[in-house]
Amino acid sequence: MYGAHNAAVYVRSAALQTSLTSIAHHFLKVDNDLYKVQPGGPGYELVYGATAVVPYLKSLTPDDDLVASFDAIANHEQTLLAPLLRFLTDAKQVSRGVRVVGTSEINLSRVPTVSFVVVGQDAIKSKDIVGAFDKKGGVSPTFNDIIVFDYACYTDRNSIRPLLRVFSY
Amino acid sequence: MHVTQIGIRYGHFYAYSLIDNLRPKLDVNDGVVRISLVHYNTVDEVRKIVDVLGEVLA
Repeated sequence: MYGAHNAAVYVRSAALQTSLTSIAHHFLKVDNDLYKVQPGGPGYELVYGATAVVPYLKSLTPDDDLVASFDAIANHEQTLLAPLLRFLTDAKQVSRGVRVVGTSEINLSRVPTVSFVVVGQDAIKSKDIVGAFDKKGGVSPTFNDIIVFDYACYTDRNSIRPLLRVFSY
Repeated sequence: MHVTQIGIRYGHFYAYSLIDNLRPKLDVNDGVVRISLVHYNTVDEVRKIVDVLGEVLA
């Protein structure tokens, strides 16, 4: 969606040494070293690709300024959210069993990734709702479980908590 | 984007514990429906999504 995905971690050296388990080869003594969470270097293509991010963001408004761009994005996101949340939280849909995960208030702390379920007497499986969209000829990229799997295993061990907050809006 | 080009997904999105802790209790593997909008989407596109949702929930 946004092209190159890079991640960075800022960690106290004490936490690095005692809280994180190494994902490098078991025979390497890297417990006090960043190598324990970054066995290889970042991909060259990702690093180079990332250089386009700032120019792209700055190009979003005539101001050529990151703050202006993020303000514009945030404001636009609010306008995108309005019709969707208005529909999902309408009394008719609520009595139908629609429940939005997280807040339904539209403000700058609400990102436009909206999750919901349909529960109750006339519950609909999430799978079937997506299936109805797909039947209309929707875009159906396959889930890339393999790529995410190692990551999820790794994060499950001890560091998934902070990551979960990303999903908790 | 036409109505026929909407891509939404369902599941736990690897936020397994979060979905498992939602109430009312959900089937975690069926999870939630997630509609992800970003800055390059338009309000018109959101309206099309809402139209399809209206049909599905009718």
